[in-house]
Amino acid sequence: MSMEAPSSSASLQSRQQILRVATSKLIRQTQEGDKDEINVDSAYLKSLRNEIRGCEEVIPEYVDYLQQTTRRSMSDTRITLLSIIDYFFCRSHAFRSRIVDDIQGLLKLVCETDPLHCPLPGPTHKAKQLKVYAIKRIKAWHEKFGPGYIKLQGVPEFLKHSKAMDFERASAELLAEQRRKEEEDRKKTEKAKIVVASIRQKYDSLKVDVSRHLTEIDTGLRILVPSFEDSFDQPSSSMSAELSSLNTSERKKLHGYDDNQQSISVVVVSARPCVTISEENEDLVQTVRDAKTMLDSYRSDIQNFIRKVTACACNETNEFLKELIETKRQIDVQVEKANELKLEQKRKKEVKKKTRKDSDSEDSDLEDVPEKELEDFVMPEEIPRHILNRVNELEKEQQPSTSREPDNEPGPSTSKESASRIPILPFGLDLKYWGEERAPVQIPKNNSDSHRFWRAPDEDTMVTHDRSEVYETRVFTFVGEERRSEKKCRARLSDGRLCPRMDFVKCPIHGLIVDRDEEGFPLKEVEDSGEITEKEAKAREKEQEEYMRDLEAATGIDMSGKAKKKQQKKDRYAPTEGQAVRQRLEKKLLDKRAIKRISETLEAIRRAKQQKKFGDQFAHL
Amino acid sequence: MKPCCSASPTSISRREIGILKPLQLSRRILDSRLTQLAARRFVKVKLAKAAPITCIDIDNNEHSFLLCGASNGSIGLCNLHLVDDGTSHKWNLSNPGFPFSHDFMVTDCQWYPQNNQIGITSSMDKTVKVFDLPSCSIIDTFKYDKPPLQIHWNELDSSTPLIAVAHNSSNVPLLDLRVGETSQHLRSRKSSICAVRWCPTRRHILAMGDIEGYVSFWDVRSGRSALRREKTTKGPVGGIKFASNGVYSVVVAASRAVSIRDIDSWKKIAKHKINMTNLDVNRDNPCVRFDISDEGDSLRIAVPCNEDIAYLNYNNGGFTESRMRGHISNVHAVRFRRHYQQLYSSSNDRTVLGWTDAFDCQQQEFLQDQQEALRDDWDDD
Repeated sequence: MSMEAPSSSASLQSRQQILRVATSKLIRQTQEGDKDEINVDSAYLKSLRNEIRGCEEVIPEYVDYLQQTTRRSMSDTRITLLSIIDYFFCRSHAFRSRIVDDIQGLLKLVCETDPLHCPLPGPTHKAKQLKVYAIKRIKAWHEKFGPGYIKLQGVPEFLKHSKAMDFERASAELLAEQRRKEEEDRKKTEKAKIVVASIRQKYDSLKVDVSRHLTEIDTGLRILVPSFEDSFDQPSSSMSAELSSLNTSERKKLHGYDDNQQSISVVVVSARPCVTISEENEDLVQTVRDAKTMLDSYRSDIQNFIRKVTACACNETNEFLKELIETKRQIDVQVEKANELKLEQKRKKEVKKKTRKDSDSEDSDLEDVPEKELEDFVMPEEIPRHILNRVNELEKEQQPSTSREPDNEPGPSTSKESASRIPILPFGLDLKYWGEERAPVQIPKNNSDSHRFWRAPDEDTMVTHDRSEVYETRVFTFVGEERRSEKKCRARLSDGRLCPRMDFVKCPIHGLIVDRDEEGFPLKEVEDSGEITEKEAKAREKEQEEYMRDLEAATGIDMSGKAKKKQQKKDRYAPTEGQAVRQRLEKKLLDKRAIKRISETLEAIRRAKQQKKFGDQFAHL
Repeated sequence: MKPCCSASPTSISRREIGILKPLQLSRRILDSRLTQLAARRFVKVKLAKAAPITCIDIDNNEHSFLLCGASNGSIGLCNLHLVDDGTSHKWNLSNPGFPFSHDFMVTDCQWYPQNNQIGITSSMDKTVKVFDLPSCSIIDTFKYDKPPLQIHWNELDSSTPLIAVAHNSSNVPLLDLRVGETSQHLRSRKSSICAVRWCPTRRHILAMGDIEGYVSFWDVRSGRSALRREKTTKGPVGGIKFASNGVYSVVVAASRAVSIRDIDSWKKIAKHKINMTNLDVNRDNPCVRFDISDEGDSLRIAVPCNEDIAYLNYNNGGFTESRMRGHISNVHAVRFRRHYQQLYSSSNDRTVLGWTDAFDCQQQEFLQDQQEALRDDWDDD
């Protein structure tokens, strides 16, 4: 017995030694790998694990060693050490009890619960990282092993009340981070679904063509280069069985060469199959070529699809991705086969050239007719210039083009109809005196019914002038049918009813009239009315300009030049440099108060002089 | 088969045969229950604001109301019956907490020994407050020049129970609530008194521990000085407790040296030094809020010792020490719950822990969870 105790303690010590070495190596390995947390597949960790699992007696001392090392090391190493502790904490009860017994010590080292006496060492960002990692781990421990260890149950409460760290915020951040990640994943999956759906739609539309072209090229190639593999394959099994029964010399004899012959040289002209294009297979070759071209373009499409699908990779896309890759592989195989054949284009080009020449010579009978230009339009003087410009523009827009069909032009029948729609006016004074200048006709006043005392004082007033408008203007009432809108606004009012206002385009209160459902909600999403297209804006501007010109023409006042004139006026009165100096001095010298003051002074001087010279004389007093 | 109680089956069979007397059996059962105390539950104490709980007391009548004083001056109350039922959390939600509080840390608290309606608390704000539970109000407030460290209400005297107040001075005032003020002053003239305790068997005897390590006995009836003054500990006296039969007393020094003495002769029966790292004796407040339990065959002493509780078992002239670990921060006070063989401890980590025998907590799902948590899991998957 006495011999056993020291030997067991020695073995314990050696185990401790192994554990320490493995731990330090594991830490070094982790840090060399530029990581903070240990790699679970590390060989050192496995050896640690085996040692600890094999002999639980080493745990207390090992835990003490870990805590001591943690106390001594910097924050980045502490993260690694904490990850080691976490690894064994999640596995061994003995380890857990040992850690939990002195969990306050560990908290001090990794959560900075006593910042005054035991602050976390540098680097600062690692210290922060350590704190976050520690909170994460301790929360996990609490959730998983809390029921078993009463001390562990109190840890979150303790950390929550700790002034050195904001446990609640940290855990909230962790939760928020988790949620954000989940949300991100969900969004990503949704986006992927949409993308994959659209790609699948596109692919489905291509699929038929692709498979058709694949079959085409396959069949074409089979015809051009018949494959003999199938015919070889069948007998090969029986033949090989026979051959295997023969020995080498017999086999050689079977192939017809003697043992004495050392080598046989076989000359293969070309391994590649060569297709000679003749008139017979020309169409076939052409088909293969066309299919190849088409498949090339499809391949780039599919490659594009694959790229997009892999970019938003998720579990649901796997099947589709497989399908795409398979299709691409098939296309590659066929195109490769077609490329190997090197079907020459030369011949085809020649043929093409020939045909083109032929067609040119045939077409040469026709002469080029120069395009008939429009006769210059003579500008009538009466019409304002801007109207003419507008007319020109409109004409340009509606220039006759080849695509216009003659049917579209109004025929004689339609012109008649339109003629009937033109209103006809009765003959009147305005038409009778068209173009003539007429003075208003005098109309004598009829005074017969008036009393003579009440007669107007002047005799001139016996005659009045007729209104001149009679000869120049014509007023006629519009008797057509009133344009009525059938559209109701139907916007939802606050009391639940729908707006009954009827208008063509816009409701004065609710804006643009759109299609609405029974509840008064628009059926289609209303576009942002604020945006006006460039074209519309231009048209509006033009309209405005035209309106202004019309207005100018009517009123005779230049509307557009107003601002300019003002500016000019201002400029005209701007003083020159000399004038400015003059004005400045005038302002100072001809100031009323200044004049008054100076004149008073001058007066006083004058008086003083007078007093001095003539003060003693009676006449000047 | 699971044991139906914590006593060994042999003692039950011995009792059945008649070898063991009924009292002996009950003592054995109590003893075995007290032997394996382990932290089983958290006691949620509703305080006005979460703070380290500095002192606790359990009432003498029903042994089920836990009075707590916190370091921020607030006072809390907890019904331990509900903790036993596992419904404490529900009760706690509706409990509004105490409507009154001290300004600073509560140093000591005690229920009125005769009933559960009145309690006293002392605080660092230099006051001792007497509160009435039914009306939830403060009945009386006594002010002192120095903060009272320890108070003790005479448990034996029901006619004029005096409250002895130790406030780290040579003068010990005795409060009489009938009079409404301090009725008597005990002046030691030697050194500051930091621990007081009434004798459980003689109503007029008061034991006082001072900062020099002396324990003196006073007869409050006479106006004379101490009956006896004995050097008991090396450092300041942390606290004095008497066994319920009044035969011996336990004195714990601030340095966590525990000594058991005979009351009459003041002879040392046994002594034990608890090892404590980072021992920092605060001479201004050297109180150690320990507790003893003399249920069962042996004497149990629970002493706060940093984050742990030193659990001493004195039997047949020898001490066995074990550590009870459950608190994360320093333990301030411990209290046995008589007749339940439970221990309650309060700590700087703002929690009160209940320590009981495993038999008390045999809820199936709890055990299952616990078993799950205690299992080794070396499987990497």
